[in-house]
Amino acid sequence: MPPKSKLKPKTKSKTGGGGGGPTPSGPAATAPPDSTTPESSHGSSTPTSTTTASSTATTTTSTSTTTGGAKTESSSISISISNNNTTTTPATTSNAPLPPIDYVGYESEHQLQGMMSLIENDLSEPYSIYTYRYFLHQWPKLSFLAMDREKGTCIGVIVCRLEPHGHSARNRGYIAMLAVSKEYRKRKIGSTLVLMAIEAMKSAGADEIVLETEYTNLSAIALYQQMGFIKDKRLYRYYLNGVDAFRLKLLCKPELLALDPALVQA
Amino acid sequence: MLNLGTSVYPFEDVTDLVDAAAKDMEVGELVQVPSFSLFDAMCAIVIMDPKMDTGMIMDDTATGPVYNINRRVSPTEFIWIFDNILIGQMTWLSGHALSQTLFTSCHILRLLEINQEDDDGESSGLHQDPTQPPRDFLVAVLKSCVLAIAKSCALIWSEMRKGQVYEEEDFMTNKFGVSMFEDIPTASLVAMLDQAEYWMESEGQQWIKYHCGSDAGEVLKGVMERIDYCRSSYMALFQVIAPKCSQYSQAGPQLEAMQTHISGLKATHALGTKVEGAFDHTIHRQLVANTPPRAIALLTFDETIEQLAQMCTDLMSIGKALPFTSSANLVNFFILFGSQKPAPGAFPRSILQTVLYEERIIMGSRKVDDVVRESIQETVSPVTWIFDNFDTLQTRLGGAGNTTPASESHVLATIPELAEDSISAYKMRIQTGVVMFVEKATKPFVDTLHIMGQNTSRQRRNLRKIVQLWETLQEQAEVFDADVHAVLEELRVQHRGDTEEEDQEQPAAPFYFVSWVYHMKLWVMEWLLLLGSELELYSPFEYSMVYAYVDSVLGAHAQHLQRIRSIIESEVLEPEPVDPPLAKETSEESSAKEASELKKKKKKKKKPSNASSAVSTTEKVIEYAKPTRTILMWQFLTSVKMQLTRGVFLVLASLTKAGHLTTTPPHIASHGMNNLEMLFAHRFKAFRLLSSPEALPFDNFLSRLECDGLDSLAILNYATDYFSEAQRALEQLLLLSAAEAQVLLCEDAWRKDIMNMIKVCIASKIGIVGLQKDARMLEFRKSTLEAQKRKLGTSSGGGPKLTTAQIKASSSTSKTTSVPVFKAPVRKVVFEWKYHAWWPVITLAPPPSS
Repeated sequence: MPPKSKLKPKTKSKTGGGGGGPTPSGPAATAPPDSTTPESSHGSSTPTSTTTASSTATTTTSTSTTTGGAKTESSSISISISNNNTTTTPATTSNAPLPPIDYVGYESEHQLQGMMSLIENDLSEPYSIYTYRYFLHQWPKLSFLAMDREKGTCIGVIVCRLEPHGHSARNRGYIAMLAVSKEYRKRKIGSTLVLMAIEAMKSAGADEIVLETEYTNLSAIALYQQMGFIKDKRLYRYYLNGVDAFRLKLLCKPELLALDPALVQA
Repeated sequence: MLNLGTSVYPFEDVTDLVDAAAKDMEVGELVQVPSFSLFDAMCAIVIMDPKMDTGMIMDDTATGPVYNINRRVSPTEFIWIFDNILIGQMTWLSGHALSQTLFTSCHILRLLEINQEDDDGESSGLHQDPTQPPRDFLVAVLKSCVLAIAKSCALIWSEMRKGQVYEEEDFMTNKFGVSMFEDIPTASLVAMLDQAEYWMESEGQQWIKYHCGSDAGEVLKGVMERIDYCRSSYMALFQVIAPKCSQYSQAGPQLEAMQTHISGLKATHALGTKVEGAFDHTIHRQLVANTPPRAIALLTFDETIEQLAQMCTDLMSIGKALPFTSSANLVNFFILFGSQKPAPGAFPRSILQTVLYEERIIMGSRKVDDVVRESIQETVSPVTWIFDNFDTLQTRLGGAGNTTPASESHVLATIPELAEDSISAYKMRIQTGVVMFVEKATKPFVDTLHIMGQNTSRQRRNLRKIVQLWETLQEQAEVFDADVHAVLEELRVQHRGDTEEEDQEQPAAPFYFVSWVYHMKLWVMEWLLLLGSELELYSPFEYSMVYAYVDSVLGAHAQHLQRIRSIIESEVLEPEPVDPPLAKETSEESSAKEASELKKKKKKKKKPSNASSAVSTTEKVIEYAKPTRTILMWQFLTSVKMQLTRGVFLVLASLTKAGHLTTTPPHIASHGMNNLEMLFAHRFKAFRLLSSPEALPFDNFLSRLECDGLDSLAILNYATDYFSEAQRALEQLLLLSAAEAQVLLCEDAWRKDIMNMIKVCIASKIGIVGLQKDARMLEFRKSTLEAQKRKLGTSSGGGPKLTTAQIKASSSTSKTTSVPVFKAPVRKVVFEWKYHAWWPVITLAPPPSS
């Protein structure tokens, strides 16, 4: 039967990154009680799009040597980045040396201010500090930062969640926030952060990984599609600015039919 | 500043306490109760953070003057204010918050402050001017018109609160505690509008004549159009939302009048004169919201008029559908209403769902059981006695909607007492089951129609559940059909005993109820799959598997419809007119006649072998039943859709073979299980556990893609054939009348849809001509010919048509042509969806210049 409306938590949209994606919107629409997307009942965020273009970043990309968890993740990532760059044509050929970037795992609240400043620059309306803490305190190992090594500033961040989803009991990873500082875009920083997050979530047992993005944010969609995400659902007027969203999904493990939420609900 | 002395809530400052307690904690430590959810986190607002605290008065907005609501307005200022309120209304209806749309109008929020006595004082300065407009432009005209709009919005709000559409996603119902003057009676509003009109005729027009120069005529028209618009729009909405469609029929003339006045509004919009301060776009600061507002773009006036006119059209079309004549016409109306482009607004969609079903009545006019029964009747034409005694038995079973298994057992137990003979007893047993089945079928049937009133994203998501509903019903139908067969067999035995005829051929078991349910389920499956295309969910590498799947479902549907038709056509009509013929039967006869004509137009179909010999051994003329118009139309349309789908699939297969298109998902990371087989399973998982149709196995898709080893050009030839066939069939469809096509309630939309499909066929054929010149395709052909030469004439030229059987049968082990190593470059494949949202026109971008 038709769903009844009910106010539920919502999502904040985030700005488009690379290539000047669309901006902000806001908490998106609420999900009705019988929604097939329990995701929206938990709130969510739209990741910033990041550039899909390769750059000369290869030579300057380095991995974290800080925390144990993050170190492992970033090491494996560096391999895939290296592989990528062998097959991707560089989009820019600037001769100016680019500042080296370090990728580190989230460690403590000391990093929070830098992360918030970065994300808030891309948002018309900021998250409250509680939203950051909701993610960072429960899933600290699933958040990563890109740091300008010379300046010591946070120039890229990804924040994720991993928990059982709905009736299916599948572990669903969720990319809640992704932001890259404008002047550092087109260096594969966003995609590196996403890959680190995917690896971390997979290691932690993710069966699938999802996120939402504005349906007009073609660069973000292309980035994720290149990583194997598919457009799983379209969410009508998901953002308060009236823009639809796509829910993108990456399958990490085979789906078991008996646990299909749609079937269980039916 | 917070005034603690007047605070409603008890307030205690705990800052020091919390600060002291926090000293015991390390940085990063968090005190969090388990119930503190993401929702709580996201709802938290940081007070005095200008980005989050929308109530905060910023320096740049703090000093704006308050609009004097009793400021006199000239007629042209009235036009401007009115039109901008209308923009607010329609922007609200398009899904935005009242606080950012309608409520930005000071006249809406402070309407009751307008009064005759309070003059506007010194502030406007207008009263110093002898040409100042009379106060009644404000008090009589503007006030009544604004009230009409506000009350119209209140009516819309009351409809939208019914929950037929999705909160925030489709519509925002938050009124922020602001009144829309619901307590002012309709009669008062009408009296005020009458008064406005009277004053305009008696005094207003004189003033306009003397003060508006050469524009006087137009200005007068502009004002009068707006008063008239208010009257007709309010009355139309009032009648449209009246319970149980009790006044919908009267809304028609009002909606027509409203449309006329909308044209009048458009024609006189330019006369408006801006009134500074009449709209306050920071009003949301004073309204309590749980989230800060986001920047929105108001509709333009032209968009407002366009959407308003579309709303009228949609409401009128719903009104015309209320007295529907047949279930098939109703279903077609819903299908075409739900697939309109651009999609209907949330309000008409809500109305559609509200009028569809209320207290077991469909469209305010017919019992749901009758409509479901009719749908079964139109589709599978069961033996006529099966629906006899329906109402009587339904009453015995506890009444519509109240039947229970216990009441069924009770009724079945009493049948021997009720029935005159054993045959009647058998029949009555089945008739009881029919009542129970129809009741079970009500939910899937109504829910399926409800879906058409939802936005397309929700349609797709909810259709997955609808497929399951039909699946469950199909299981129940199978059990019931088995009972029906047992009784039919018993009756046949008894009849044979009476007539001593033993050599008659056994007709196939009819499976009436399963057939109907399965037909509905297949239709929903097709719709679900093709909506994925409409919603742009599929990536190019997935298209071939999607269209292969759609093809397989359409194929199952076509086969099923043919089976239904064969069963109907093998049904021997009772020759003797013993019972008085029912009126229903008369109409069936005429419909059968029309169906027969339709069939002639369509395709000459051979009669079943037993039907061709019309003379039996006893020399009686055996008359066979004819398929209904409904089944013929479904067959026709399903066949056309299959041809279109197959055409698209073959183009995709051809491009895949030539290497222009890949079926391999991108996986630069190889972090996901993103191989095609996994995605295939995911995309079609809603169908994997269905009892029928059999899920298309991934290997079967791969072998279909192989197209029996044909080269790309040969595959394209077959694609052209399919598009040509589809085009011919569609052109024939256009020759049908609305009654024949069963689109009496939506003929224009239906013809438009058919035309769009024809455009896909034409554009695809043109596109294929371009594809045939592609260098890779030609290389492939050359390689094929050379291979054939080597085989020394083992193959003949024109092969047989690539049929379903061939496509299905071709396996990976079959004769696979070796694909050459192409020298020509790969070209970008272009998918064009402008003709139809379900089938793309596929071409290749120009080759990269060397």
